[in-house]
Amino acid sequence: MGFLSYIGKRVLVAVALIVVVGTLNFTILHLAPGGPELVFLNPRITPSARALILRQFGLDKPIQIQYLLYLEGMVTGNWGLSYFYTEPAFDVISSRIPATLLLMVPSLILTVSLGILMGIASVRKPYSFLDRFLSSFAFFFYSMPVFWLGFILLSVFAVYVHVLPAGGMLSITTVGFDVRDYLWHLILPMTALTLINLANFSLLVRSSMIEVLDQNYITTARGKGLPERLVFYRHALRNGLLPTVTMLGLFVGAILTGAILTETVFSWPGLGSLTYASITSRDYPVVLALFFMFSILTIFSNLITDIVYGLLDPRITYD
Amino acid sequence: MRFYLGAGVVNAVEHLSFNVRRGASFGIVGESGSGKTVTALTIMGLLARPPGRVDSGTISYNGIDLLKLKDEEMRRIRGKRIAMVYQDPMTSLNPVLRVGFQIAETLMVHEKIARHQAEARAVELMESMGIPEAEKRTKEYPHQFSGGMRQRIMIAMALATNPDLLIADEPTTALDVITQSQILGLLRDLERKRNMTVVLITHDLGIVAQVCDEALVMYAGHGMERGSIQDIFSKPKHPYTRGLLESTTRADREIERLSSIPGTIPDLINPPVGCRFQPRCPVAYDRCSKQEPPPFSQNSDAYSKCWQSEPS
Amino acid sequence: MISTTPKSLLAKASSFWRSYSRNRGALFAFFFLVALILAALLANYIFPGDVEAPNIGNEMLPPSFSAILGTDYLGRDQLALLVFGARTSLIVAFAAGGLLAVVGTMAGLLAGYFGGRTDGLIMRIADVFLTIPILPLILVIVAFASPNLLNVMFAIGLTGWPVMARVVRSDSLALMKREFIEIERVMGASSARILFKHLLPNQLNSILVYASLSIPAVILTEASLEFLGLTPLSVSWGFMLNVSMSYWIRGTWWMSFFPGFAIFMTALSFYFVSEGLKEALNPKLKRRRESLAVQVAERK
Repeated sequence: MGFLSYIGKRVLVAVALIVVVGTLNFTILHLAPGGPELVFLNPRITPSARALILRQFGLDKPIQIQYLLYLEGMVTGNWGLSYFYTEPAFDVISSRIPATLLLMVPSLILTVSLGILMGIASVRKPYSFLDRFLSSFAFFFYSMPVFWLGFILLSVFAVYVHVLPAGGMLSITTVGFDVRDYLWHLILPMTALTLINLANFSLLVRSSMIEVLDQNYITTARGKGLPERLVFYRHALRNGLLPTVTMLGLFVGAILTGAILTETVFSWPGLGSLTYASITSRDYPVVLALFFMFSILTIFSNLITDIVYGLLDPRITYD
Repeated sequence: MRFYLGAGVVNAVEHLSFNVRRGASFGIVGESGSGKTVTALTIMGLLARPPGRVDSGTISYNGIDLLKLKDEEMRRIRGKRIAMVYQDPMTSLNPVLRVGFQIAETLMVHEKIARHQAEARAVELMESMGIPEAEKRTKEYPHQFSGGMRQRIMIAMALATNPDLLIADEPTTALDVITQSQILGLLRDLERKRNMTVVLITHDLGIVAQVCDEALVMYAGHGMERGSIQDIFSKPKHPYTRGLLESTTRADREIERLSSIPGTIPDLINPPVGCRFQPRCPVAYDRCSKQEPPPFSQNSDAYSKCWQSEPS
Repeated sequence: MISTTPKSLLAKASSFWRSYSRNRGALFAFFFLVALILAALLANYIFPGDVEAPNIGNEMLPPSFSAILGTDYLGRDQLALLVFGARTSLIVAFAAGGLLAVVGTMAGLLAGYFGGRTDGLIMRIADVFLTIPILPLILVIVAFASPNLLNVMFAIGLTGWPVMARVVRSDSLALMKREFIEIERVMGASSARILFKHLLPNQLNSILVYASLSIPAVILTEASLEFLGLTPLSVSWGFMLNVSMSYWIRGTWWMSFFPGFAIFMTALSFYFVSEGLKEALNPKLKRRRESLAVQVAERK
């Protein structure tokens, strides 16, 4: 029972957040100089599209109605019309989602697995050389702009040494989806994205583990005469990794943000480079819709990690 | 069994020596910061070695000096022959492991028996601790139990391998009075039935009076007085012991006002010269602030570390 | 307790400096930042003339004696551009950082002091900002408002306060439980008095540390915004990187490397400074960790 109410609460919070984001969008839209007319009624669009937008956003109706219409639009996938592509923004965005996922997911997996390994390695002997080295590595990369790292990697490996491709997800000559081509193109952007987030994540793991190792039940475990290896891996680790599950949810937000910048540098055809393109071309509907998309992705991944956490922590699963 | 302990890093414990008879119930009393827990952890070898350190002394258990053992050898004794029960039952059990498993773990590691066997023994142990529906509850997690129950689980965990010595560090401080007496009764039972030596650490004189045969009074890392319960309670020789007794409620006397010992415990980084209790002692004189008194003893089992107790 | 309480401000400052300089990284970072700030202030004197004027014929020259860091796509000297760009970064860093610190501190103080529903409300709002990806939010805000530096400062400052608020809130909550606060309340002190004479001064140290800790993120966010072309100012590090995107394939590594390096060094320096401040201002933390025996004794 406890578990179900926990999930229920989380879902409610997620829904509320989505509404908040939608409201935020709406507020920004109306606070922008010139208001929504200027934003959405691009003189270049066709009269029928204009009529569509007018009807859809009810720009002549009182503001409460506009608000509700807007929210309804958000939910039903009606995110406005892109200037640049003269297609519904929703279509433009959704066609780019797979590419972004193809970059983010491998990066996330690597970040988490390497981050945990690094965090564990540095915590085994706190303040040792390895620990301090890994911590330095961490804040070194934490201060590094991901696009700068991307440029360095590109310059070295693509321009200087011609080993790896200079951008894009697939070669121009490729027809369809070739896995090996994709992987070859994946190496550099993923490295840039992962290195920076890895640093951050391993620090989180480390501090979580240090806190756990300080707890009373670790003393109890040692007092039972258990070998240190068991104490660390069975008792400490299971407790220490639990908070990192929650942190993962927040991390997805960070990786998304990083993806925006990385995709731009590497011309990776995903949501990130779309963001850059639409900002440059002042395609406001798409920019707004992209923000909404990013928010949904983050909220959704937070929800998933919360659920996973609930499954893993017996204090929640068993009342 | 005899223990002699030397100085710790922050002078946590100094010049402490006492012995405990097998099968007896021995209490270590003192206020917070007196070094009781440090003593217990040192015996168990649980003090983290950088910053903590034993500079000199011996801990003799069954003829073996525990301080001279290698880590691996000590580990084999720890939990198996000498076990400890800790102060706060709410945080001393691992929250993500099942209770039955945590008890069985000791058996699996020390006696190398299979898991299902060990877990069956765990059920028996929980039953003997008075935990109802033990069979079903071994599969549950610590947060599903009350404080008193968790303490019983910890005791079951400690007793799994039938240790010779059980050290209980303030086992009832975090519990309510009723549960407290239940747990104490349990400890007394165990001591009698299993002929186990129990070292009970507490700040509560009442508990010591109830459960222990002999006691050691500690203050600021020093052992101030040691003796049998009758001696300590009816004929306390050390002024600190006397002060403690006067500041507790007694059932046999009507007291109008509880007195307290004025002052606070000394700084352990820069302890005072001479007797450590001297700044707060009502009967201190010249010599007390210059020279630390040795333990003066009437017989091998009782001593008092005070110049007043010097045989004249 | 061994403690020497230096009475004069000078004595306090010098003892602070001594503990701060024990961390060599923090020391180096401090001097780097001082040099950077000076250079930014004196930029007009160091590089007289119009730095932004195109210099045709000298485009995209690699580093040489006449242009130590090379020239950009318009032939302008990169070193000069970098120094002028430092202005942007430093101004935003301090302004947005300051705004963030002020708003966050106020929010944290109010939440910690009033507790209850105020606390809940403030924390809910903070949670929203923590769950929504910040960069996209700022992007949207700045894109829709007019994309200038002021808006960037506001946007970063107004979205970054939750982290600060959390810290101040937990410190305030802990302080509220102390006896001297109880005494003040019983004596009928006004809320403002308690807030500003008791809660705030006790936390100034950690507030300073956390404010400086948040600056690297501010710098990186601002650089990212410029990199994405939100603030079409030609003289900013991020924008220099944006421009270099179109040219790197010709091998003009210096156009991307130096601006990025500047961002990196500045962010890293602020990070080191905050670590140095942390160690210098909170010696208690360090000393306590050193003695586990004391910890064990305390745990009784």
